[in-house]
Amino acid sequence: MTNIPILKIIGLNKSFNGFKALQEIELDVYNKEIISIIGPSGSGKSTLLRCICKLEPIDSGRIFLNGNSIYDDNGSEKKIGMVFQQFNLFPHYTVLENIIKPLMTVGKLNKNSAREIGLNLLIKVKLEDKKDNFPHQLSGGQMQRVAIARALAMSPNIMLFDEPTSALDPELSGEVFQTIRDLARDGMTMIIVTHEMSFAREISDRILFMDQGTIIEEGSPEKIFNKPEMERTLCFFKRIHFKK
Amino acid sequence: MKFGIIADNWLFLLSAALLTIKITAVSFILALVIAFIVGTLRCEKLPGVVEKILSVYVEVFRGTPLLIQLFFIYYGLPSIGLSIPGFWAAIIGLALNSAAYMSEIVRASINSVPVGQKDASFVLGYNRFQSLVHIIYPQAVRVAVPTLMNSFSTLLKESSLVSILAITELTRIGNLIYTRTYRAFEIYLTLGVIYFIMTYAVSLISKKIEKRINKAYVC
Repeated sequence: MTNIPILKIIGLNKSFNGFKALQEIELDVYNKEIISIIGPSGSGKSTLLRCICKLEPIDSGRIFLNGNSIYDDNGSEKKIGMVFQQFNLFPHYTVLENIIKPLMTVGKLNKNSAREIGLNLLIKVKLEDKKDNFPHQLSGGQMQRVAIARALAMSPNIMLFDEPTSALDPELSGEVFQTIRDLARDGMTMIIVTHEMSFAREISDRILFMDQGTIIEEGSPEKIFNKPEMERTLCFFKRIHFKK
Repeated sequence: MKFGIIADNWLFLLSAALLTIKITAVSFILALVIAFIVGTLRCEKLPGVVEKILSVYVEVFRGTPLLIQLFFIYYGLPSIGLSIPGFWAAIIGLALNSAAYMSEIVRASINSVPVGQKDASFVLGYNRFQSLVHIIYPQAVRVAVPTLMNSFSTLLKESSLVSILAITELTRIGNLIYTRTYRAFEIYLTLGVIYFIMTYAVSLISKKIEKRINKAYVC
């Protein structure tokens, strides 16, 4: 592992109509690192992810991916994968088309090579038998796994997960967690915004606790969950009745 | 009852009905193009002037009678040096009028597509045009089709107004036969039946199309 961060954020500020959603965010993410962001609703976790994948314009600050500012348009190739809480699959495409159409439209791949990539990814998320189904015919957990496969198809350097299981029943969350675990095993760099504390603790190399638009505290899962230094982190765990 | 006069004039009625279909189809296609451009533009953040122009267009054409619009285009515009032949004056009038309504249908349909679809396509690297064509339109069209087909029926019926521009479409031919025969009951009943057959055919076709495009959504 080199010491150059794959993703570097410097002094990021973002506000919505005067409301400061993010304040002076500093973050380095290293290759193969898995970071979970936890914190109360409205603390800016999702906004941070949306800024990293350029869905939200930022007020000030800089974001670098592999040393290049994400706002430099020289390499228009998308290297950041994003998985949404609401899946956002394309309902008019089949499962396989959801994965291969972006490859063909954006990546300019021909149908056969896109298909090969798509089928391999479906095997990876264990949904190869659903390739010709439409999204509405799948369960929530299956939809999210397709969404993960779709993001992976663009061969991102880093994957962002915005509360990937918040729209799912607990028993369906498990299969999505398993898919994320498989990605971790393959060495994917990931930032996961989640309310699932035990999953965050299990999978993460580092935990970030955010509140009111700032990173209050960060550290290893043991440190954050067992002996948090900040009062606000402790309060948060008390409020959500998190047991050590 | 003397329906014999209908039989005597069936060839005129048929060719007039075909002209009605032609006028309707051409105006509808033109209206669709205008409606998609205007409706799509009105969903975007635009410079204030463009936004104003588009909203004035929509409001004016929705807020004045089609008959007046046709009179203005055919009889009014020549005064400022713009003479348009009757057929094209009819097409332009009908198209601009329908497009004003249809652009609102298009706009509402585009807005009905969840914003997450736009987000997802952006993150996957689609540019705005690709996102519109590949992701947003296919979903918006599904919502728009039933209402747009309704606009087609309305357009078909409103095309009877262009008879005043001396175009020998169905209504005008009916009027001409009437002035020769004074058989109002038979003639206007027949015209009504012909219009009804045409609009009913449209609604049957529309159901077929809806079924097709909903294929992806029903189990």
